[in-house]
Amino acid sequence: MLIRIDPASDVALFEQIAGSIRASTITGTLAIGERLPSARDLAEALDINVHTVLRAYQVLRDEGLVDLRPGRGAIVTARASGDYDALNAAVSTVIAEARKLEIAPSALAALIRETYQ
Amino acid sequence: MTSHQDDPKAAAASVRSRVLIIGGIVPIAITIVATALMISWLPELPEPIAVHWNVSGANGFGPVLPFVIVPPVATALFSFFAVAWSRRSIVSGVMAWNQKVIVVASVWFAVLMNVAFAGSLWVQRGIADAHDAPDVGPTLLIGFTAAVVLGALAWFLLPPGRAVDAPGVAASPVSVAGGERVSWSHSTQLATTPLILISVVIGVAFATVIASVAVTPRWVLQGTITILVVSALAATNFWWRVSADTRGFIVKGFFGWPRKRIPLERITSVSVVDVNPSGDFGGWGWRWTADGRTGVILFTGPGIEVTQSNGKRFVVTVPDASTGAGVLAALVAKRSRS
Repeated sequence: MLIRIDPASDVALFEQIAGSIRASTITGTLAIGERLPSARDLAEALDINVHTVLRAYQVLRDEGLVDLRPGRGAIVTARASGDYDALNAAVSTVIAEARKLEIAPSALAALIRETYQ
Repeated sequence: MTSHQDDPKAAAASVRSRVLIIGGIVPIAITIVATALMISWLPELPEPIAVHWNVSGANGFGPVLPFVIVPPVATALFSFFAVAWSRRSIVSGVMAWNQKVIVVASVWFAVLMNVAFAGSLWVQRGIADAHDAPDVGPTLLIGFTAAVVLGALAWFLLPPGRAVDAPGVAASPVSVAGGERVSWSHSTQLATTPLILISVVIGVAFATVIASVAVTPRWVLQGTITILVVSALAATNFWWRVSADTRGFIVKGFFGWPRKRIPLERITSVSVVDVNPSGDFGGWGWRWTADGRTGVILFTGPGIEVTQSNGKRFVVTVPDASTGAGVLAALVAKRSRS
């Protein structure tokens, strides 16, 4: 699973992490039963506070996307894998169009975020 | 071989058929002939037969049935394994050393085993009491010689064994904006086939320990400890986590051990490779090859290959390897820029 965070962004770090993980479950790179890295491990990897990662994992647990058990870590649940084929195809189309128009990834992301909200 | 050099597909097909004939069909044919001969001799054999000899003559006796059953079953199993191990993974007509050794061993084993068993029955034809069985030594020597000769012949009929080293594709770095931090991580686990194979081996080992403990109870402790250590070592190789982030490229086992970290500053290039466990690395788990590649090899498929500044290469098979390699390549590039 690929995680991107931008400390300069307006979006809270834990929300950025949760967003990256949600995206990975949608594209299918995080399959059902896949174990997420331990919170400590991910915190070290991104050089952030472990509580930030834990908060992200708790958000995902509350959404039912992961199972969070002490000692077992966070495991992706069946809930996380819906039928996302159409969505993934639509995303590819949007990205292809954005590339054609030479729109930067950050601009595209901002566009989607603002339209969605 | 030479005539196929320009056409990898034809070369691969030619080597595959040679592997099938030498490692499979020839051994099976040998055991069919041997078994047929042994069955035809059944009416002439004493009951029980001599099954073991020492310098003074026959000194062990037993029923004839295992003698007729063991060679075909053992030969069939071994030749099936040899062909399955080697045949599928031959790419561009190149055989790995271990594949060649196993295919040659299949012929060698078939000749040795079938001549030894059939020979032991042959010398006992027409005698009423197995105590009078003549010496089987000369027959075994013939079997051994024939096995070596046919094994050598098989060796020369197969193409030269080589360390396979298919070049990978350079990773395409993911884009990372100025202040952005990026990390990638994925778990990777042993494929089902080797998992079953290893489980069977451990199961057989357990059965052997139980059987030998039943015979000699004083080995119970040693046997149990050995099995536990071997199982634990095997288990540490089943499940791994692979990460690419500012700490570098990290591969660690389920219990956090074994663990290997290659810091970003020691990475010169990252590529995505197609890994064939038996062909490229001679098996699964933590592996070394003669040409200086180390790897955690768990399944047939994509892997991340990292070349270090000392020239050594490290390979891990992992799902979504292209993303992982892309993140690692981006981090390496970003670090060298700053």
